[in-house]
Amino acid sequence: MSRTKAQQAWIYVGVSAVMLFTLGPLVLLVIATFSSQADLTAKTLHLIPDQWTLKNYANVFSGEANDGSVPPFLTAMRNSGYISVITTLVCLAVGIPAGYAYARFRFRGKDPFLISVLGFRMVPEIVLLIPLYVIFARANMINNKETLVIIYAAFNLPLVIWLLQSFFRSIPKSMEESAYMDGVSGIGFLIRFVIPLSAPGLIATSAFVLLATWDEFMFASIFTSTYDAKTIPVAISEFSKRGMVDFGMQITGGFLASLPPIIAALFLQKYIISGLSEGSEKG
Amino acid sequence: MTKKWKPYGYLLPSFIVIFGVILYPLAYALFISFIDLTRNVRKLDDPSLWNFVGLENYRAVLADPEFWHTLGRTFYFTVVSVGLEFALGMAFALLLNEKFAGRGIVRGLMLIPWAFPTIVNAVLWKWLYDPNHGTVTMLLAKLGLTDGSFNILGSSFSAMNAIIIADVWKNTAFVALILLAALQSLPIDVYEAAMMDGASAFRRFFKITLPLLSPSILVALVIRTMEAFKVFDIIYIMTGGGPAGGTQVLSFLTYQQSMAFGKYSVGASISYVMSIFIAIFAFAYIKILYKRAD
Repeated sequence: MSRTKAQQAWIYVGVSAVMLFTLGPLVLLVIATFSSQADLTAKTLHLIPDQWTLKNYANVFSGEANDGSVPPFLTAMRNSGYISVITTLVCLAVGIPAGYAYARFRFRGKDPFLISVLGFRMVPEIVLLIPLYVIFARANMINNKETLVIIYAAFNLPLVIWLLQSFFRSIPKSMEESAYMDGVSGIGFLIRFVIPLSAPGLIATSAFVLLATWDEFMFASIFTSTYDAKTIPVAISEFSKRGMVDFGMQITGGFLASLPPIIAALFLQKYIISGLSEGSEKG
Repeated sequence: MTKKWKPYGYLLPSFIVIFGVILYPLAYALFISFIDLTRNVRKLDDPSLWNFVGLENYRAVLADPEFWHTLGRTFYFTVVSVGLEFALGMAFALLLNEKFAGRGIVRGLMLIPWAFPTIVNAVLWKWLYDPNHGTVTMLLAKLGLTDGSFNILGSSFSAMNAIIIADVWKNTAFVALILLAALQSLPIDVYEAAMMDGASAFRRFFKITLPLLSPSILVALVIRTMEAFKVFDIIYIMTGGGPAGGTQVLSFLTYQQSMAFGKYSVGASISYVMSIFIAIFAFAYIKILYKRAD
C-alpha cells in the first residue's frame, strides 16, 4: 500500500505529537534534576535553567537535605532491589510447577482452580491491607523485608501462574513423549526441556514481577518504619513529606529510582511486548 | 495411586501461598468487619473484647453520605481516566501500526511511561502543578488561561482532573502497547480485500478493525478499569484526598479510616463494599478470557 506525500507528512506530525506527549514530562524532569535551587523555585517560566548544577545528585547520594532528615537513598535502592529480586525468584519457584501442572496434567478440579487463579489476581490489595497488617503486627513481623517479599510474591503469583501455563502450553506434546521414551519425565523434563524452551516467557513474566514489586507503595509504606526496610517509593514519598520540600532532591531521587525499571523495560522490550500480547491474546 | 496425586504435588506450594496470604486474610477481613476493632489490634488476643456488631459497620458506612460522594468520585476518576487512556491509546496504536522510519524506536520509547514508577510519576506531576513555580501552572498563566495565582491542586474540580492527566500520561502507553500488539496480528488480506472494494479508512476501522480487536480492547479496558478503581498512590502523594476531600477515593478512604484513625473494622467494611464492584469487573474479565481459552 503506497501513500501520498501528504499522508506521509501527517503520519510524521502524529508521531511527533505522540513523542511530545510521551517524552515531554520526562525531559522536564531530567532538566530539573540539573537545575539549581534558584531555577527550580523561580516564579517565571523558564524551561532551560540559567545555571546547570550537579548539586541535586550530590545531595541525594550524601543523604543531605535542607533540614538534614532524609532517608538514605542508596539503602532504599538496595532494599527495593533485594525485595524485587527475591520476590521474583519466589514467584518463579512456586509458579513454574503450578503453571506446568495446569498446562500438562489432567486432574480433578483443574478448571475451577484455574478460574480461581484468575479470580485471585483481581482481589483488591486494599482488602488484604487490614488483615495482613493485623496478622503481621501480632506476629511482630512488621518492618521486615521478608514480610514484604511474602506479600508481594502472593500478589504476583496468580498472574505468574496464568502467564506461565499459557507459555508452557505452546511446547509441543510430541517433545514430551520422545523425552519420555529416553527415560526423562516429570521434574527432569520440566528442568531440562520446559524451562529452557520457555525462557522468553519466563523473562517476560520475571520482568512484570520485578517492575510491579519495584513500584509497590501502599504496603511498603505501612509495613516499614525504619530505613533498614523502607523501599525506594517510600523513601521518595518522604522526600516530599517535609514542611519545606526540596524539589531538587525529590525529583532527582525519583529520576534515579525510575532508571532501573526503565532500563530493564527497554532492554527486555521484545519479551515484554510478547508478554503483554500473550496476556491479552490467549488470556 | 501416586500418579493421580502428582499434579497436586506441583500445585501445593502455590496453594499454600495463595491460601496463607490471600484466601485466609480475605476471610479474616470479613471477620474484622463484623466486630468492633478500633485502635489496638491486640484486642484480637482476647475474644471477650471482640464485641460482635454484625452488619453495624456496613450500615454505618452505607448511611454516611461521604461514602457515596467518595464512590462517585472514584467512578468519575475511573471513567474519565480509562476513557481518555483508551481514546489516546487507540489513536497511538493505529498510528504506530503505520510504516514509518524509526517505528521500532518510537514503540520502545512508549515503554518508558509504562515502566515509570507510580510514585515518581506522582512526584513529577505534583511539581509540574506547584502553585508557585510549577511548569504547568506558569504555562497556563502565560497562555492567559488562568491568572498567576491559580492553584491547580487547590480546588476539587481542577485537582481531580489534574490527577487524571497524570494518570493518563503513565497508563496510555499500556493500552497503546496492547492494542498495537493486537493490530499487528490482524490478517492483512482482509484489509486488502476491503481496499479493493473501495471501503474508506473510516469504514474499514469501524467494520473490520474494531470488531477484530474487540477481545484485546475488552481485556485492556477491564484491567485498566480495575486498576483505576483502586487508585491510591497518586492521590496519596499529590493531594492526600484534598482539598477538603475533593479527591477522596475509596482506597484512600479505607486507608485513612484504618491506618490513620485506627478504625480497622470500618476500613474493612469499606474495602469489602469496594470489592463487590471489583468483583463485577473481574467477573466480566474472566468471562471474556475463559471464552477465548477454549
